[in-house]
Amino acid sequence: MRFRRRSDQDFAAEVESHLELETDRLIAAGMSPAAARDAAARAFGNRTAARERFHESRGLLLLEQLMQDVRYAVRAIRRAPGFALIAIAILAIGISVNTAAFSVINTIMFRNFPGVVERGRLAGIEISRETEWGRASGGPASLAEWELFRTGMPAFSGIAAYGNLQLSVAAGGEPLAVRANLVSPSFFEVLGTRPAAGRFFSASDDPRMLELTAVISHRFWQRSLEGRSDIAGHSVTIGTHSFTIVGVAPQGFFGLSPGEIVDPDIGAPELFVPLPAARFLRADSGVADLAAVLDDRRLRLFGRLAPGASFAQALRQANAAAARLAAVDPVQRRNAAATLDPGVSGTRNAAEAIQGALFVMLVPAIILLVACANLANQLLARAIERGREIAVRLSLGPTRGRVARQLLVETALLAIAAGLLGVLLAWWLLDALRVWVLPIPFRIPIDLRVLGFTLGLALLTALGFGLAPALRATRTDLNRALKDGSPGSGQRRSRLRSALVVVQIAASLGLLAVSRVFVTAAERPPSASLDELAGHSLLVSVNLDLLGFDSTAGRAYQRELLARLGSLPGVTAAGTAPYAMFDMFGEEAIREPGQDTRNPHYIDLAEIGGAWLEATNTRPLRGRLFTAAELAARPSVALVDEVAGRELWGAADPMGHVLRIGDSTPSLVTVVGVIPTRQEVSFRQPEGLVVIPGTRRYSPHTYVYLRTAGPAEPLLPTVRQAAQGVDSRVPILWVRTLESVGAEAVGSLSLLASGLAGLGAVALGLAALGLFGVLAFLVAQRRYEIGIRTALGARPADLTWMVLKQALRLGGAGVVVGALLALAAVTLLRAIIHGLHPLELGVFAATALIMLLVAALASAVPARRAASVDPMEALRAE
Amino acid sequence: MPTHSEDPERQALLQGTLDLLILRILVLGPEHGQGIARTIQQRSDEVILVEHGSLYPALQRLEAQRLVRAEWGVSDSGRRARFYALTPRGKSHLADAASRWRAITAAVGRVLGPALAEG
Repeated sequence: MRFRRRSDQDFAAEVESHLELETDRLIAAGMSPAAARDAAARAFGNRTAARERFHESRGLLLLEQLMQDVRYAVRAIRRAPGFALIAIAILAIGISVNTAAFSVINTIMFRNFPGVVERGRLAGIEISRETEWGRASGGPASLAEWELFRTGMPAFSGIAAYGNLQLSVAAGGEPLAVRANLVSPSFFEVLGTRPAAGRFFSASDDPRMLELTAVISHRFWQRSLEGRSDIAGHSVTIGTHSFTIVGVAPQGFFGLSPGEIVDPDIGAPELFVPLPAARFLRADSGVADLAAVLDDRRLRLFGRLAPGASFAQALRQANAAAARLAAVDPVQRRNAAATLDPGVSGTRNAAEAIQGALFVMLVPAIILLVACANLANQLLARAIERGREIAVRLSLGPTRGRVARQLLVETALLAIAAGLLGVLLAWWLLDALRVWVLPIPFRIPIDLRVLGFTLGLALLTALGFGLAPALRATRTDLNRALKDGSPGSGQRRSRLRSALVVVQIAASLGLLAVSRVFVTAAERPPSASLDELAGHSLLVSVNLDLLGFDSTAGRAYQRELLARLGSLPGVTAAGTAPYAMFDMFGEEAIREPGQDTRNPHYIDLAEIGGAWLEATNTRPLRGRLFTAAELAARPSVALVDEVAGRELWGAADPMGHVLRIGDSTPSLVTVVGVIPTRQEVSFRQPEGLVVIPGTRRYSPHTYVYLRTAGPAEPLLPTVRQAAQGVDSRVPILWVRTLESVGAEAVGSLSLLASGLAGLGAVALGLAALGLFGVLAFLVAQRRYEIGIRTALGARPADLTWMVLKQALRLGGAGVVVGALLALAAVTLLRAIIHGLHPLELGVFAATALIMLLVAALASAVPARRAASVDPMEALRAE
Repeated sequence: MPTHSEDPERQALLQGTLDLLILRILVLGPEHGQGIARTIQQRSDEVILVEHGSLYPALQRLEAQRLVRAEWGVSDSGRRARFYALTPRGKSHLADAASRWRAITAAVGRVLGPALAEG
């Protein structure tokens, strides 16, 4: 009873009983009933006041006041719906970008991946080794190493391994190149994944039963097999063998590597092949031994903690396994140690995680900052319009804090509305992202954590853009405000507004500068030889890895492919290289024969075949290209580009120098020519290139470069057909024009750049609006002064200059702060993304100039208003 | 919107005094609001005229401080009424407050002296 709050009714009943008792008494004392009732009511006094004080003593005051504030705020917002709509829209944009960015972080760092149960109990197991430069990541594990780690770690209830493959898969029609995962039989068990159809493999399965079996992805099931319900037992051709499909992974399942599915070169896995089936992937070459099939290191390991076990225990056991590994392989795994990645977040430590999150959140945060600064500015302007209303409210009794709180509630309501809209926008943004930018096989969810983040962000922004205006608005000189409606402390208010405008200009300038850095990264430097090639060049990509070709058969296929494509009508030159144009070439240890063996140069090496130099329109600056005899024989000659020449010999002439290429079986080559620096994307700065005839070693992945006499595009189908005709089992990964390969190489970059530039332009527009507002305010403030000036003979030009000067001063301050901001942002970005160019001063200066121009434009209307002030009217109004 | 601009000092004095009177009356036994108002008037020889309505916030406050507790009951005249009673805590609080009050009034009385040259 004591702890229950009394209700209003209970209190009213008590008052009623009081009045009745008093009336009874007065009647008993001889009054008439009517007079007694009146007297009782009189003696009681103000019933409303009593009830109000009852409320107060009840402690509900705060909540009720808050409700009052909300009602008041809703009324105020409805009085100025235009302002509210603009404010909500601006803020919603800022919040949506942040919400979307956080959703991505949330998905990668906190949530369970699709189909994965309790990710927090999983841990990636990585092996590091000691090198001459210190401890380095050991990279993926080999099959033998996986066998070592598979047992002897009781802290894990299960251990699994997976590795990436590209396989040729035919489900009836032409073979397709498909991204696949080679998985240990325990893979799905350890992840806790349930099949969408059929069944999965298990660690307890007889390995022989798993030969020639595979699990397919939900997408492959739907796209290539029409989602048929009798899928289990159906078969597909992988390479040269028929594999039985035993089950389908759930929708959106991609395993544990979100970084790979957003990489257009890799994508989400479509096929899961158990390790015991791996030998059939290369069975044609006669290799029966599993270890020989997987001669390289491609397995990544992870385990699930046993109930009650800790990551520390697991780490100790993993380190014991690593020590066994170091004992077996003292060279490649010297002093091997294990590290765990709890939660398989892909980041090794908190610092990395924070750096990644910062990178994702940096730009959205800047946009929100601009939006907040803009709104704060608008609110200040409104506070001036509402100065009189606020003064009236203040004079009616409530404290300054109370009125400030009411104004804050108003901004909080706006922010919450913007938050709701922002969540909707973010939803749409994430879908658009999925469709247009990143091929993610599942919807990035907006869960409670994200909603909490958004709500917190909305309230924080409400404080951010509402606090200063609310405090300022309530710090008014009542008498003055009531008397003439003009606010007090105008000077200080305009200083704050100016500062906010400077922040906006600076932030938008920073954004534009950062976007510019990405634009430069996505731009191809001008190249006359590439321009000549434009429209007359095709690339064909074929990968023989895991298709059952040994190096002899592989070379034979590649020679045949080159010959057939080169003899097509319309093709003037055909050559091969193991890398696509604009792609990164592999680095190789290169040094002069007499040089210290410990410090070779690492320079990109292109091993070419056929008429690659002609096909890529490469012409020597000095010396000559390769002869047909040199191309066919073991490498004895080389071409270097200018950058490589400078790195190796400084200013000296490279011609005639001898290079030693490779470590274990080196080739000695003589430089016979110097070629221009290669025109790859400048995402990485040109790092030099050495070109040699490509007969040194076999690479299963080859790219055929074709140069055509006429337009290349019409030849696409002919080339594809001819390539497919060489061997019907080999999938042709793609046939594309040089332009589309180049566009793809920089695709995500240029998209990022245009996105940033767009946001920067929005921010710039907001900043211009803010500047306009401040200037208009200043002119209105100084009407009286301007009137006097005009009366004293100031010409309109003087007044226009006065306003323009103010605009340029604010713009200039913004540019200076913006330069610092951009410098900091670009420095941070360059620390994260290698190869980004530093900020170009010229470009920044041009942007700054545009900003100043915008500032001047924003001052046009206020300036005209100032110039047209009628002195008589202005002076009379005061 | 409530607007209170009373002098906080005056309010505090009144509050304290009224609280003290209520507690003192409840020593006699449980009583309802109207009865308390009546008793204050009678015992102060009609000098203190409590606006009955202002009694209830005070009672509410005392209840919140757990100096009194309240229960619905039936009055002598057969009407339903909310009866207030002293809690043990209220009793000891009254003892303290009453002795403080007496000390202060005695001191004030000594300072003022006999009613001589005031007029």
